[in-house]
Amino acid sequence: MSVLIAEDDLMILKTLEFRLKKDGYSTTAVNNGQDAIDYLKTNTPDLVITDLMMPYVSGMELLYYMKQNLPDVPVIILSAAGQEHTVTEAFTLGADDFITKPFSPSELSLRVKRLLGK
Amino acid sequence: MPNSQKNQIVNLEYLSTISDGNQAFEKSMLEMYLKLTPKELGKMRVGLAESDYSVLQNGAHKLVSSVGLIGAAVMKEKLLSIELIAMSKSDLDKISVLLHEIEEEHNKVTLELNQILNELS
Repeated sequence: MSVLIAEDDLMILKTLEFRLKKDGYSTTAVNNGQDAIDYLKTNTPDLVITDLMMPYVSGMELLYYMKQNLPDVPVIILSAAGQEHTVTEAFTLGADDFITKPFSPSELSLRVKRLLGK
Repeated sequence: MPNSQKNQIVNLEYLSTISDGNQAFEKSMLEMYLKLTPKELGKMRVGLAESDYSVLQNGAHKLVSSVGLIGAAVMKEKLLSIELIAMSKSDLDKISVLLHEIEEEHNKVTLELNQILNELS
């Protein structure tokens, strides 16, 4: 099972990658939304995890791209405290779940597992 | 993570939970913090000089997650304040004071993390 992670904070990106690899997933990590879209033009991961605030292309724009082009691939939104309104908007656009930073490792595992049916 | 009980400025419990005791990963994260944070603070300093609220808001937002990973609570609280003030585009003087305090706190964090890294190596 493969997971694309889009997050502009390198420390959070590495942390997510570390945990997901530990859970047995293969991961691709990018640090902006444009690189995520470029990757998705030629690859179809089983799951996408994306931050909301990223340079060039935001998490919301990436979510919109996903729902237009890869509607069957689930998307988890990474949010921070105070972004409740944006998270609601993301659900309206079709996000499948969200995780609040700082995330709990067991919560991450459970939410990913649930969406991948693993 | 060695001597976490005696840390005064940072709290590495969360990082330890994430790492499941993998010290190489913990070390790489601390080194990453030391490498990246000055650059992000520098960008915020430029944002302040240019009265660019967007740079200040985004910089603070990004750093909140990083400082959260190493449990630098004082920095996190002040960064959240900058993010809120910058969002409302209100008080650059207050942001200036907070940014200075964050830079001072970051210096203390750096000292403590370097001590921890020495113990790890």
